Amino acid sequence: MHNLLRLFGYSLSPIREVESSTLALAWGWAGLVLLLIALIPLSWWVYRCEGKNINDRMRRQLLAIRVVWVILLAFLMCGPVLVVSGLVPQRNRLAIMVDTSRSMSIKHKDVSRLDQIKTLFDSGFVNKLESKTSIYPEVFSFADNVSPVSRQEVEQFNFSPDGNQTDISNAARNVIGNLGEGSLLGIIMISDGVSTTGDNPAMTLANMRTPVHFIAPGQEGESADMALHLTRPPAQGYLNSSVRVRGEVSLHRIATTSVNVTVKRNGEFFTSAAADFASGTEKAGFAFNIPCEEEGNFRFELEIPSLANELTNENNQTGFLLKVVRERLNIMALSGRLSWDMKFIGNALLTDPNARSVHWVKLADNRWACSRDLKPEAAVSNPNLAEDLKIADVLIVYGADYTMLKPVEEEIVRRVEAGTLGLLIMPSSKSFSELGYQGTQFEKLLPVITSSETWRGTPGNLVLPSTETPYNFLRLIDDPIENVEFFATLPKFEGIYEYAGLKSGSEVLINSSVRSSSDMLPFMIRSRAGLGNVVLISGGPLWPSGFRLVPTDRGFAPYSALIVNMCKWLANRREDAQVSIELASSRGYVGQGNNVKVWVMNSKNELLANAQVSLTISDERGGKTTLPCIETSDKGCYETAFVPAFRGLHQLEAEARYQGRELGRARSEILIEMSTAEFDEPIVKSSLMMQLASDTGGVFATIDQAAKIIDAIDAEPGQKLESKSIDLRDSWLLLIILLLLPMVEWYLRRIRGLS
Amino acid sequence: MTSLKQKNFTISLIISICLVGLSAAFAADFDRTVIPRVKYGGGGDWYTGPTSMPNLLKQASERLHLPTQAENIAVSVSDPELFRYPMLFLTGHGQVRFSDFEINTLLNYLDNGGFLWVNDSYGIDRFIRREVRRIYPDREFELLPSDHAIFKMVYDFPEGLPKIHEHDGKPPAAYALFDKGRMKILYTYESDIGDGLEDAGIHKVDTPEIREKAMRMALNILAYVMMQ
Repeated sequence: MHNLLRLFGYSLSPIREVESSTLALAWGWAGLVLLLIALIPLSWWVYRCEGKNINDRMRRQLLAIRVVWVILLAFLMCGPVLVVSGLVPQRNRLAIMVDTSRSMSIKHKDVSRLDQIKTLFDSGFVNKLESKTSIYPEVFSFADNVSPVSRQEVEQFNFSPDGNQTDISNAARNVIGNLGEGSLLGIIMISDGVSTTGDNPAMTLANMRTPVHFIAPGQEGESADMALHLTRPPAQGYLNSSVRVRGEVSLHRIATTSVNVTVKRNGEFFTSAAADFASGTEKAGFAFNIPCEEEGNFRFELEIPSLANELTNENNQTGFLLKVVRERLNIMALSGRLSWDMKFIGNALLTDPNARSVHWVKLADNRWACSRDLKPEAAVSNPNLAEDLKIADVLIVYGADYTMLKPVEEEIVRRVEAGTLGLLIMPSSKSFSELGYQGTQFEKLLPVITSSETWRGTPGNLVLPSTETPYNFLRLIDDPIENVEFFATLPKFEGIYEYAGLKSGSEVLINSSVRSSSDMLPFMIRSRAGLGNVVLISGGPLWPSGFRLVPTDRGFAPYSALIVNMCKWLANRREDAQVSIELASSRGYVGQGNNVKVWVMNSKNELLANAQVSLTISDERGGKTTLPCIETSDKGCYETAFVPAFRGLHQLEAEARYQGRELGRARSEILIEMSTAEFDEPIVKSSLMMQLASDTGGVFATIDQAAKIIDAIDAEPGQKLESKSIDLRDSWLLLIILLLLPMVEWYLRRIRGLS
Repeated sequence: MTSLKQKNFTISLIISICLVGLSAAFAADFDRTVIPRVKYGGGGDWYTGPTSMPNLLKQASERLHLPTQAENIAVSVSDPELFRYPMLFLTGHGQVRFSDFEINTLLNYLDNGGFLWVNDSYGIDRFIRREVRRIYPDREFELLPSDHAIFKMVYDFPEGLPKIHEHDGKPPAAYALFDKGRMKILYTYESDIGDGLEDAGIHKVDTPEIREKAMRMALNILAYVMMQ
């Protein structure tokens, strides 16, 4: 077949041996038959019409030529394609991946996991692989990133355990992407199996065709360990209140009923808490309160005792920074009509001794009622809302039509964008278009697109995202799973507004099951308007979530906590400064990037573009780094990132200049810790690696059994099956035949005197 | 052709109006206010004046644009559904008695945002004072002065609580029980606003002016409760 195809001028390269072939027609076989049915009778009819007397032999010759020509023509018209499959030789590859995350520094009998790999390499492991497969393996190191390692670096064993996290899935995908899965004899992953981030490796590796072999340093379960973790430590506290800190102690091969956690504040003993272990459990929670009695920044360090035979002591301590600020929570509510939602929000706010509330309601034309701290006052006409707005930290808007907002609209927009006023918008029986918001400045603050608004009067449940919420005000129950369940069991709300969509940058905090449990409508949406926080609740009423729970075990407290904490978060207590620093967290980790945003305003408190902003970072060792901040797409927002090299308290100072003139400076602090993610579970995950190896057809071995891996590598020359499509019309020989046949017919007819 | 276009346009317009009207109707259903009457023990006629609350709610809807469910609903304090209603109306002519469980439930209800309006139809005074003392043993009813905000909410009542229905020739009085700075129970004595809220013709002596006065005071009470 090979020779025949070559004769016709078709190239099969790079296929050497044809395994199978298939002929296909672009018009399909039916197309060919139909074409023949049309052409053959036509051809025959042309002969009949000629009406000349010829002998039978001549007739058969001419007919045969004509039939062959017609069939060939019809065949080529149908677009014949020959699909040929065959084996193609290729160069084999072999990958070795060395885990360089920090957990590889954990020592087993005074030898770190990485040093065990060095011993393996020194024993000629790589060379043995080379001599068996005739190829030198491609070596990679992986932790946060995947990097190729040169032969020279491998020989010098130039690896260091400094990665802050391990992503096995990403590393395997990356190597296969680089080398190509078809040519890989296998991947040898030398790791402790601790995957701290990324996709589940069991899912990722199961989809690969390349065998992944695992070599584990140390032995599972040969050492004991005790680890301390904090659960979302608080970053801010309010004066004359207290914050609660929660954490967990986990044990491995240590038998104890209680572990004492020592807490230090600014280096001095502050308190201690006990993590009490129930029988048979390896994890126990602990909690303690921090009374916020004075303003300022406080550094808290937590520690558990270290044992002699622990895998690592890195996970026995942790810390966080707490900023205590003066409490001021002035809530102003503006309502277009009376409502039970606003009454119960007021009731909830009064559970906080530091909260002050003023609620204005328009009862009728020129008749407004006001209640201060839930004490109603005599009605008045045309009140001056600006006075109350001036001192408000949060504005709640309930069904207030635009005519009510108009006199203070400019002030509301300015203060929200400056970050000195949080905005909470509650649903009412009127849509935003009925309230006249469309096309106004106020509408720009809304987190939703209001070009369409549909009221869905269907009862629904609240659905928190399944991932743990980063917003503390949505954490009404300590346990994240119980918290999600708690929201789902709250009394159903009556209905919800569905909008055209969310504006860019908006985020859904709570969903609802109004439409269906798989296609949910947003119930609580947040967004940023300049520096300010805006929350829109699109469904309701909300008050039954508090009042109807009163006779249950939960009582009114979760509802109060939600409202008060949400208002505190909305208040966004930012110093009234022209320059302010925004940190994603008051805690960062060595070697990990920290984004810092600097907001700049002019003397009129308007966000300012085209300023020159720099950030100076000072560490505890006296080192200083100054970084320029780049302007972002948010007006007045400038951003930079720094990667701290040392742990400890870092002072941040932002300086903003505009046209050569200094606008102001802002200071903040960030506590840099060593990331303990790699040490949270420091045990070698032998069983996981065994499963991964088995799923991919690989082999698992400990370092001293590494020879097993060499035996398991299949060193046969590589080849792969490839397919090639050949267009049969693309042949000079066929073209000649197609031209030759009519010429032969013409010649025959000529010599017989037929034409 | 033109008439066909006009016809199509008219049909579209009608459908649009219907849809807008429908959505508006749905929106108006949001958080409808219901004020149930308290079904109490002791033998008193808790069911008296069945049209008073529906009439009040109808007017609240018209005058205060409050979505309401204007129905005469009764609820006993021991009913688990009690906490669906943030405001309760208690009226009658005689004996009122709550069980110990009901007293505890009422205390829980009032302390967490609920409100009780007691309307003295006649002869309820002795019993209601006794029951309220069981709920708040260390609190007493306070007489509201005529300049209290409750008389100056939606409508002004410079003289204080209006007299609606004459019984013993005593002056009307509004008593309130305050706890932690909040009014939790309002007791309208010798006024019988409930009678004035009933349908016209039920009480022949209640002229339209008197009935309007009762309605205005009741709306003031509702507005006050929803503001505190």
